[in-house]
Amino acid sequence: MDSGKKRVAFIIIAAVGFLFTVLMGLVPASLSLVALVLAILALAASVLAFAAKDYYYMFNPIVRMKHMTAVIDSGEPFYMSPNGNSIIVRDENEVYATSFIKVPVYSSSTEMSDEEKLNFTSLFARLVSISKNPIRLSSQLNSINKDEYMSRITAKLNESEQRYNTLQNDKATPAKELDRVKGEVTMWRNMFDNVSRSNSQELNLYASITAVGNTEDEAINLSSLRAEEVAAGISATLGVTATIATGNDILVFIEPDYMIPPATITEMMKYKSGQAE
Amino acid sequence: MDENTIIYLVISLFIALLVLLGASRFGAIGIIMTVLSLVTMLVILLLAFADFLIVPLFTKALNITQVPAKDYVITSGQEAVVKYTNGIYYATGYLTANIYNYVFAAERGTEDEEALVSAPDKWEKAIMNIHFPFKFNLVSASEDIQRYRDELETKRGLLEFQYSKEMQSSSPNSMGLENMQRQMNILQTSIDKIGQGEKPINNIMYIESTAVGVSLKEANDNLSNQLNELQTIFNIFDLSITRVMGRELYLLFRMNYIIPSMGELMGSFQVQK
Repeated sequence: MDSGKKRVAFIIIAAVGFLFTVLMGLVPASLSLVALVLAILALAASVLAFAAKDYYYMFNPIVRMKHMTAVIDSGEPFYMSPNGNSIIVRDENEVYATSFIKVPVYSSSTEMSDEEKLNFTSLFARLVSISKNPIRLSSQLNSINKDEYMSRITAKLNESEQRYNTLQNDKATPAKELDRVKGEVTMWRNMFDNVSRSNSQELNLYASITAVGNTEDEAINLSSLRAEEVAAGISATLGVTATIATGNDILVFIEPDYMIPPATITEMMKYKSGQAE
Repeated sequence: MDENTIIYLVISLFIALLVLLGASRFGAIGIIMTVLSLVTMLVILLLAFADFLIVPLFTKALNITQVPAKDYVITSGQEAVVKYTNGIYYATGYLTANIYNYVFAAERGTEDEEALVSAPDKWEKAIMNIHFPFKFNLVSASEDIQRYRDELETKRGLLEFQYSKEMQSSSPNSMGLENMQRQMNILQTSIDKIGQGEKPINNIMYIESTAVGVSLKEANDNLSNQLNELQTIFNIFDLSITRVMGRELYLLFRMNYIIPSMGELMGSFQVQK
């Protein structure tokens, strides 16, 4: 991303290092302490020059470091494009837009013959060479956000409990009706317990592609164009309908708190503690 | 090691070498300069070949943490990126997944059909044994076929020349000849594959997992357990798996949002071709 700057930093630091070694060579033997200082500076420059290749991004944060925390970037890691089709990252003068393509694969190897398995693997291998631009194919196992589903069950449970209480207080209620509503309450309670106890996960396959532009619009358009090309390629290769992910669907792929929604954290912790026991 | 790194390494070492050569003029101080120059050279070489070990050691010793973006922290040991939100710590860590760790496999001309048939079953079995979020990522880009073929043929030509030169020498090194023969076989296999219509690709594979905890330590411990479990489960795929630490962790974190160009990827990671 900033390879040009890295090179410039390297050239400047290495040149300074050479300058110190030349000055050290010019120092008379009697001024050995001056020579030592110049040697230390030259050696420090040589290490810094080499470090510029991989650690250039850390130079500024280390210089400005406070309380042993080097802040590389204090801004949001990305923001969503206005159309919700891609995420945007600004890096000085350049804008990067990344789009995500969902690949729905529902077939399982258990229902495939050996020939079908071989075909499937070969087709999958072909996906890898689908684009000259770098693409990322990801298979993600994440927790399902059961918030909405659980709140629906809770509402039903509350409603049936309330109905049961009302009927119980009414002396005229037939015993059969009371038993039926009691059964309903038990059913919703069991369902609530089961859903909140079980570890619910889903496997998603998706591809992502990035485009760079001088303006946000340019990057978004280019990224969308590439994403459509990749989606068409995937659809033709695997025989599925690949679609471009939008909004929250994208967040599930990149944000850890969307990958593990708060509703499922208790489950994960229970699983962990169960494992520990 | 790519050409760029070699240039950086040679120039940096050359500066230290100049200091070493000039040190002899300064008597006792010259000895200190010599020692410092040698230490500097060692540091540069360590940065070139084992930065993922020494930089995290350094940051851990000084307890230096990094903030790569709002709400995110890279731990002082540089082994996890942690997000803190809604009172929960989400620690994310990475594993490399190098599928081409065996050179001998690359010598085989034909695909191992059995391995391809068993791959989907192995994958499903692996998934069924994983009970926490994870991602298997494969970043790839196809190469210009003609350019890649020319590159391979040039390498093969050079090896053939070296091989014949070695054969003509008075005492040919049998191990060296064997090694060259093997490398020529690998190159020939790659050329044949292109001839059969296979596209050359560059790729990087890595595994990512996220763990949660109510404290930073708990999240990090859970993450380590998850990554160990993934390492065991993915062993059935003949992958060379190691935990990513140091600057590559930051680069992989950035790759969540930006997929760099192949040139940048090749400069930053060891790309599998």
